[in-house]
Amino acid sequence: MDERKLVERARKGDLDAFNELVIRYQKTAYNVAYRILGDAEAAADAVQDAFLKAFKNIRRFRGGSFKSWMFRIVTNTCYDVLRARKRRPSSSLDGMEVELNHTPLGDSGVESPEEYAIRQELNRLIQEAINSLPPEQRVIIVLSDIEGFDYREISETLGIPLGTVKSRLSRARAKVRDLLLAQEELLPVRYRLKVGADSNLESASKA
Amino acid sequence: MWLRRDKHEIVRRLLSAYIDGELSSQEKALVEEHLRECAQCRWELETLRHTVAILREAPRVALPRSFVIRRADVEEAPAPSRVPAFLRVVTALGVAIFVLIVGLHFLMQALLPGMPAPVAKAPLPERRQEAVEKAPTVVVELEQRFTPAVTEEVVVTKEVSREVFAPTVIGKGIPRAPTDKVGVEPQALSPLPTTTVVGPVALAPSPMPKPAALPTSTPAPAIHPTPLPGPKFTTVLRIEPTPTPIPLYSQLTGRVASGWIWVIAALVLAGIGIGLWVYYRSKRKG
Repeated sequence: MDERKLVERARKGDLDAFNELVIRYQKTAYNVAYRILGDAEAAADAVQDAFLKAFKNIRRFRGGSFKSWMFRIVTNTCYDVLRARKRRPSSSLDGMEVELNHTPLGDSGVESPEEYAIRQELNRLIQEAINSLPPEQRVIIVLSDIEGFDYREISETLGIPLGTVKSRLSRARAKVRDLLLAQEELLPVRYRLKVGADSNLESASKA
Repeated sequence: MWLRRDKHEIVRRLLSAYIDGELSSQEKALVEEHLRECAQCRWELETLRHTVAILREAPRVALPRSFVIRRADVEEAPAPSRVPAFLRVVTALGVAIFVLIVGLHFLMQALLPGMPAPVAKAPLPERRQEAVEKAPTVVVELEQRFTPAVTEEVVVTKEVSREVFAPTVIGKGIPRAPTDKVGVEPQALSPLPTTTVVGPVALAPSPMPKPAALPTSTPAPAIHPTPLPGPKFTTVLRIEPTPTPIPLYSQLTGRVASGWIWVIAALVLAGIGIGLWVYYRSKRKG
């Protein structure tokens, strides 16, 4: 059904209509929360909390992009979790392992154990890099580069100007790049930053 | 022109948006021009691109469960504290009523400056004298056709006129003559073409200051002038019986009463609104 109609019905208190929207967005919401928080359990709690908040406050949604409105609640809930965690640091997240989705459609469909292990390693490295970013940069890089939101959607979701989206994302990417470069040998071979091809690289990096 | 270093820094900051195709054509041209001459920026661009590619390959994590909201999750919410919510409503209403009373007090003071106490302080005769002195003299033009309802005789009794602040018409019959001067007191307010009835007169739509109240209860007719489109006469005196003269206090309160009703209604509504709002919020917070 059309998203606008579902939103309209949900605004009138129709839980089934709202749950249709939940089904549409829960995967993305959970992945966003998981990447921002770096913790599967905290992410699940945050997403459930965010959907509940969204349903209770859906009358406040005044048109525009429902997706942006929804993900603003998700990211704000994640910010709250990060803030609470800062006040009361809990156990380390090292060694966490989550169940990864199978490879996207179009691939052979069957994944070897080696492939799965490689993806788990990549996942860990990416997550570590994201975890090292300050919260605002984490959120923006997750929305942009992991979930594929465009600049306007990010601007609407986070309520920040486009210029801020650009500069914040630029800083976040540069930082992640530096972290991945610093442990390039840990990256699966095919993900290594092949920068040697540029003949001017050496002189450039010295500059 | 920019210094080379400045340009380099600017382009470096634009590379991320360049990858996403989010630059204006001017910015894009600037970046591409600089990339041709700056190896470090080329390296930056390449590594950034690769980083973005890796992030986009980040595996999706599987949902641990469905996040569909159960009916019980949303229905549990409003219950927990009904009594506190009720008490909050009562508190809000109480505050509203308090504000209302205080507001009315000040409103009354503002609307009735120097309002005399309902019970006269000065001895009655003095107050009467004062009333007479303050009473504006009204000259009313009389037309030949006095209202037919008028009773037989017109007698202006000084005593009554002072108290009622109106020429009191008692008795029966048509006024003696339209040209008769019935009585003259302090001053005239308008020219008199033909007939004048002069004396303290109660005029319904009069903007005149009110004299002090006198708790007299002599029934007397009041005279209401009505403008007529006659060539010669502009006012007709209608004499009709009036009820007991109203004391000033009552007159004043009566005059502002209609205003108060709105103020009271507004304040009561505001109170109820605040109460409902508090109640609603407390319910939503659950």
